[in-house]
Amino acid sequence: MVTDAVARQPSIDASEALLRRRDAVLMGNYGRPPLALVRGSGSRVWDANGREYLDLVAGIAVCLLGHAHPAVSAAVTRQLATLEHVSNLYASEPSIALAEQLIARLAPEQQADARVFFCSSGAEANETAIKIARRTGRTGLVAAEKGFHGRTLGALSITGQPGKRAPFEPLVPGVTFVPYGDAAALRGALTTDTAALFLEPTLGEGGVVPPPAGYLAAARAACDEVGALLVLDEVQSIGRTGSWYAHTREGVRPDVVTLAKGLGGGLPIGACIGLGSAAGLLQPGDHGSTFGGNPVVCAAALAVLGTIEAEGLLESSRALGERLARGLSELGSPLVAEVRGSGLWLAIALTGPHAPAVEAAARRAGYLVNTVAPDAIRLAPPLVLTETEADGFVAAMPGILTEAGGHG
Amino acid sequence: MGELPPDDLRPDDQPSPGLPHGSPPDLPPEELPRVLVMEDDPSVRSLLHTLLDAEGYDVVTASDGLSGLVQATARPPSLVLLDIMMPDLGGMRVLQELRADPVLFDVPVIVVTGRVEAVPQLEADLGDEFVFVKPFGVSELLARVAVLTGKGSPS
Repeated sequence: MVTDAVARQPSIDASEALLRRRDAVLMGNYGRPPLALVRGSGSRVWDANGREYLDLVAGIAVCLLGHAHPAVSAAVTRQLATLEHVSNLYASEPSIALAEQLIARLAPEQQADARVFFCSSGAEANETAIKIARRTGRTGLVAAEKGFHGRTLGALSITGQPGKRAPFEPLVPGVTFVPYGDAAALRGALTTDTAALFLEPTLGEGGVVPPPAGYLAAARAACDEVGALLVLDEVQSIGRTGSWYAHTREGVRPDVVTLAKGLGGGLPIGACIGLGSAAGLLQPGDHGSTFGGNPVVCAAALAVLGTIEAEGLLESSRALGERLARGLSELGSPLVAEVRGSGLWLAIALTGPHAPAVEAAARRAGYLVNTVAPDAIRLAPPLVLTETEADGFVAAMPGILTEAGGHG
Repeated sequence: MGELPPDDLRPDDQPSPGLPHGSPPDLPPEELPRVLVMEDDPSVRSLLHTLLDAEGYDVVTASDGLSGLVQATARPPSLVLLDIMMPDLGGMRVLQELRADPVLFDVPVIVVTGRVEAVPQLEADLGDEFVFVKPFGVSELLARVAVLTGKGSPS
């Protein structure tokens, strides 16, 4: 591809040509991407000009096994040739097997009465959780400032980022926002009218910000005091923190868990798991999703779970995340305030709003990273990232930061 | 949906009326190397089933040693992938039973074990190439299966 491009010497490069086609037909809600990608393998992707990048974004924390993983590829191909879609008018084995395996990864005492609803995205999983909350008979919802739960109207209503909500108000009423990490504020906001508290185990889109120790346990206790559901949004954390669910590491029992992103290994999936009484709140006819439980998508997710289990990727990725965080912290750059997060779900917190400049400089150096906040770079690479690849990024960072500092 | 003729819902074993899609993809199983996977972890068992099937093996699985032995006896496999830690009848006992069986004694067995302390003895008994320690590289395991079943060449 590089050879062809050079040989023909086009007036615009292949990536720019794709972006111009894009501009002509796709809505402007995302802004203009810097690159058009055409191929991936493991933790690497290639743009339309044939340039290679180490992908530390992974489709926004999605591709847990990287790109073109043979297990996902085989599972999808096999299922596609067998049965691609049936709707929820009929049962199909992959969704049943996947639900069994998601439940088997919960704490043992939570498994017996857990039930799963499948959908196609994290926002849809959170919409499901909101409807489950409404089925308690209460209408109040509490969520965290800077929290993020999705872009659909219900999920947006509990997203604690006013700028994202404002253009679309009025939204779902009855939502109270509290500062993330403040247990006292939680206790003050929860009342006997509260149907559910929605929290991420670590703020994801809010900048990969972990809460203070004991916060989730305090949230559990506060919910129990008023009889509210605790909904944990593990859309982004699933498989990334060194354990399947972040909440099991914290020893906290949620009533509802929402999942998406990494679960499908790149295919669109969402899941809402109800535990205990919350598992039975939705009644026949209350909710649905045309593509929920799609056999191909569920086969991909089963391949993701099986590969992570067989290859011990939870453990290895946690160790690799610690190595990456340590290496970045030890750079001692004046632009870096701290490196936070766990496993392969990290943020490089910067001392100022330099993230766009750092992202651009990293891209020029062959690394894809994500500006999650003006002063924070998110790293959510595939779990198959190698030590050599991680070390290469750490070694490149001084040059990237120097360039970004000059441009920032 | 509505445009499909009702007989398009026929079972796989009935002949297709010549539609360009929907022909059964399976080759006759007797022509394929048969791999018996005995593994109690459902996610690993499902993964191995998927990958071996995609590689062109006739795959059968068992979640415990006893049902695995029943399957092996009913139809001898070309190779057994054997987890050591399984409920009811563990992998070590399965291995003994297979070796003592007049038909199955020489079926190649790859053991997969998380018991690191058992590895030296297993390697001494079976040979290094027949022992995988959990967690294991899935592609390495598939490559070994290919060599032992004659579908691939030694690397």
